[in-house]
Amino acid sequence: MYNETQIGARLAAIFSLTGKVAVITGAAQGLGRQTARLFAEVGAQVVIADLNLEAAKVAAAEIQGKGGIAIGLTVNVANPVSIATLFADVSSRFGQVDILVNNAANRAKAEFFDMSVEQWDAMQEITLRGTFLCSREAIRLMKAKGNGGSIVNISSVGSVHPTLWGVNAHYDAAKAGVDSLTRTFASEFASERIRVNSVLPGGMTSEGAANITDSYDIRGPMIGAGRIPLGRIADPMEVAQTVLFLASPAASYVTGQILAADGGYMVS
Amino acid sequence: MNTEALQRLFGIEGKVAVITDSGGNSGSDVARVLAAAGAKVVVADSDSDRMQAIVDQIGATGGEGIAVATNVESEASVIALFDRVERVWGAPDIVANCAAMTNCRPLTEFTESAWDEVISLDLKSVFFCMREAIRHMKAAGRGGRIVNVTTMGSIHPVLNGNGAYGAARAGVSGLVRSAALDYAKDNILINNVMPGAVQGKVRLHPDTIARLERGELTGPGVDTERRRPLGWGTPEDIAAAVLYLVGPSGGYITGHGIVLDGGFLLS
Repeated sequence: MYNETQIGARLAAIFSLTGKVAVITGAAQGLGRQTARLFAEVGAQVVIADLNLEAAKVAAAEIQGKGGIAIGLTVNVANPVSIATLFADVSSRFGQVDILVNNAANRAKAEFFDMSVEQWDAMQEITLRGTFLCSREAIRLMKAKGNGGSIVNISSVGSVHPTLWGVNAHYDAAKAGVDSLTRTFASEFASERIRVNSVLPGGMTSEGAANITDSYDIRGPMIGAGRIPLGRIADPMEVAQTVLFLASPAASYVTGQILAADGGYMVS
Repeated sequence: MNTEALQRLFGIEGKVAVITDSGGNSGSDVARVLAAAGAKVVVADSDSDRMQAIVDQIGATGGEGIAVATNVESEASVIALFDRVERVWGAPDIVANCAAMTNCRPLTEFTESAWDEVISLDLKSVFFCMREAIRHMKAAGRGGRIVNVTTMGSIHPVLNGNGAYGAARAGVSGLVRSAALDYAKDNILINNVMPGAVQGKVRLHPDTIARLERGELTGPGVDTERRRPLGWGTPEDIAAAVLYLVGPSGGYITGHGIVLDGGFLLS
């Protein structure tokens, strides 16, 4: 049997992010935070970018306390100036961006027949346009450095297969748009060795979702016995592991793809 | 570098992994990488010399592996393989099916026997291997992971005249979705890895080799660099995707495929 050192070395060659600078948006809580923890554990220098600067700093401090490298910065992904400022800051601090995880999203639900235009617009500005603008900044820096890069967009199974009725039309549309950006950017920038992929979580516990305090009638295809064949909702850490796979050298020939971590929902 | 985290996330130490192949496909690379990640590997192939070389190499570097001569197109041989694994190491935790062959010929010239050959190796053998794997995994009650290395050609043609191969591998995708649904409750997770341009990793029918050598193979994936923005993939790319799916971090993915195409599908 190979010993621990041999195994560790081989796994590091395949999955390690040592030396990589990773920007993760919306990373003060939920999936973004778990992704930040995970990336730091496998060697990345992590930028935790969040609307809530204090929370971002707390998340970064936790990682530092465990021996990882992380800083907390602020970003409002609905605001193009804020995004430009973030990436200028990252560029001056680190000199590069190797990985971007577009995780920041609007999780607000809105009843279909009552949804205001403002609610629709907010969803698109944060979730879709935010991903576009952050990706553009990252790609600019990646192209300039000439060392390739990896962008992982957090999408949703709802992008291809609705999960809830009545409350998610704007969210599912935004996530479908995010997947389209995945394909567009992957197609155009593959020659620069910039890979772009989407992770589609299925049912997942999330502080972001739990923070929405308005109550809605939860109904739809995902609700019902057997619709998640693995019989459970994912912990965000499980989805973070999928993000890590796509960001890592293991996936260096994977681009333009959507990868669903959904417990079998899409075959149920 | 904290390799403890990597082992927790991706390590498969002590797991029993069966890798089936049909001589010269990606099985050897998958076996090496799964062994390097800590698994005890069973290499099951019809090519005894090649198999033994892999097992010897794994053993020489400190890993653990055995070779079991297997014809994946024979139901009896596949049943015997899994019975043998059970006797030696118990039920498998991981099964990676890597057997493959392709025969490129215009459909108008494709004979029934040529069709049956492709279906037998590229679809029916997967049925045999999956069925036996699941039988043993269910009986052991510990769950398990199954990955089939198929092809991007199951979604989009790569070569002209490759309809039989595309049909067989699309069939594997259908089988995987169905089995993933049916055996999720047993915690048996089943997925595909679908490589595109990875040189030399699918055995070609002798006829097809001849056509390749005469420069007669054509298709979207041939020659044009424009269709392969990230260049050629490596066998390690295939093995890494398999390792990810069969390890701890692949535990919420079932019924899906990871496409390794370097951007071909979007070119």
